Amino acid sequence: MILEGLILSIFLFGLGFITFLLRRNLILMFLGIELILNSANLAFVVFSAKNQNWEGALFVLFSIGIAAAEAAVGLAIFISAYRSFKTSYIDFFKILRF
Amino acid sequence: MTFLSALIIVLLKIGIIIGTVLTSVALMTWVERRGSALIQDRLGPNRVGPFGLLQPVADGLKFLFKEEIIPLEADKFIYLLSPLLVFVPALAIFAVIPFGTTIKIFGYEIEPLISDLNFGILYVIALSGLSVYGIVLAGFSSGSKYPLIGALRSSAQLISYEIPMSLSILSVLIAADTFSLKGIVSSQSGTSFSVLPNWFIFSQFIGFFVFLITMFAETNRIPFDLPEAEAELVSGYHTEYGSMKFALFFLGEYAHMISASCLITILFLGGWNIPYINLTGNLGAILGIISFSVKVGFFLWLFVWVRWTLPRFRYDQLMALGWKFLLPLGLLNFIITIIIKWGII
Amino acid sequence: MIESALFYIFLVLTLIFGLFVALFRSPLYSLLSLLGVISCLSVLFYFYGATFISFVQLIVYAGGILVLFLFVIMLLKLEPEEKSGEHPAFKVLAPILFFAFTSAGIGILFVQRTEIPKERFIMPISDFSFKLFTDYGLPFEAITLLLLASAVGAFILAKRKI
Repeated sequence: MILEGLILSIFLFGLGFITFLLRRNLILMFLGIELILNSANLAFVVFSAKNQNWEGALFVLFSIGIAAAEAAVGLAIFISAYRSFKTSYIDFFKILRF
Repeated sequence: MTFLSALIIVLLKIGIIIGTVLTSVALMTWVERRGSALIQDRLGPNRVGPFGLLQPVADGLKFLFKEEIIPLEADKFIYLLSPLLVFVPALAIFAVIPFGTTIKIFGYEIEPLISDLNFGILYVIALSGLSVYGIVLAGFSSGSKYPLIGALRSSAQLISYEIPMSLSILSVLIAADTFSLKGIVSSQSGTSFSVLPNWFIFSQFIGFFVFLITMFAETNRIPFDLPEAEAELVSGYHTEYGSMKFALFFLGEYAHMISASCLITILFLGGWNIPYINLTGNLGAILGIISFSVKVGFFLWLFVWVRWTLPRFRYDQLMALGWKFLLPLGLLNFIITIIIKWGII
Repeated sequence: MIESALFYIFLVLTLIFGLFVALFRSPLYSLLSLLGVISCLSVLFYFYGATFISFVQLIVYAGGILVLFLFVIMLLKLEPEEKSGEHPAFKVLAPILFFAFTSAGIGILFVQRTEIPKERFIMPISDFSFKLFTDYGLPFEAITLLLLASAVGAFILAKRKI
């Protein structure tokens, strides 16, 4: 049970990673980041079940709180970027390039 | 008891409870129409059976035989999924609601609740949070503007009113010292000062007031009916739904109403406790279930009564009520509960 | 036996939903698949004994954060992606990176063998909350400040005119 949970955590991290790389839409990249955070939460819970010490699960509470704060700010940035560029594809966000 | 007998008992309980809920939903439509007729000084449906009691059956048959229409602009998979997303959480809340004390039949001790989760209250709050999805997806996937606006208003209303709901539930949890719903009902048994029953409606009337108003908002009933406002929004987020899908929305709304009434009785009115009577044995259990049903029936009648008496709130009035009036009241109740329960901090 | 069968079913379901997040073209379907991932993860947390955390994940993540994402996708009416926007190198590079990383991680797991407990240890809520307010009081207060700052920041960033 511990081993399967950790393997799932690694797979979810990998899936979130390729979601972040393969997608051109900014919202879908955010979804990949959330998937990565969730895989880390799963790893925390699995390890605290293995060591029978619930301070690991306590950290999941803080991690979920941080994910909430980051999602709010990220979506606000996304909305103002959408208003400036009229699109959400990151191929067009290249004003700062040399 | 063996695994197989436990499984059969649980499946029987699920069947009985879901059957009762669905029958009550059908009965509630009849109560709504006759009750509104009573309030408006006219007769209601009285032709289809004795006192019109077969009217829900006629309505159900009508819904079954109507044509299923899917709009061209609609996102088909989500359009068909949304009625389920509304209906299933409303039914799933019944998995943790305790209806009475233990009954002894044929040597088995059966409790009239499906599962006594240690964290029953958190399960209820999580399901209330998940019921936003069905409404938002229904409005968005219909592909026209009135459902979209109705879905936006409804989801804003649902999310805003979740916070005073959680605060009033929190005060009850502090007074009851446990998260499980059966424990909350048990902590309201007996009397204090030999006169007043221990029900939380007496010790936390502000919390009861806040919770009652938020339950009206969470079930989208008048006076918080703006998402379905007929005069303005052509029936809001379920405009584009017909026949069986509309029937599922309808059933989901009434099931949500029944579960809200059950929650109000469990949290504030003492569940199956009868004041001044100690319930023991099989007879006590049956009396407990009857008293629970009477209290739930009173709140269902209250829902119908308020619907046909009060006008509907405007959207900014609704938001101001949730954030500027109920939230400070909920916090006040919370602080008073802490001070009384644990001494001045 | 039923319990471990259910555990494996939810494990595989999480993986399938995760694949859907990476592969669907439309933002709405990806978001619904992420909702599926989070619900299945919540059930898995329950299996590991972290009962409180599983409900907190449902209430906060599925009931709060994903609704925020759903509002943005709904209001801005984001279109499904077309295939022509990607750089061709990424299509080859990303699966290679995925397989390299996951096999490295799994290889490390199999090399390090440690003691696995037999009993499932259910988290007692009173110890948990006691530790939260005494030993971990500082991160707790910091999180409240962070949430306040992010709420104010999100409000200002999304305004049309300051």
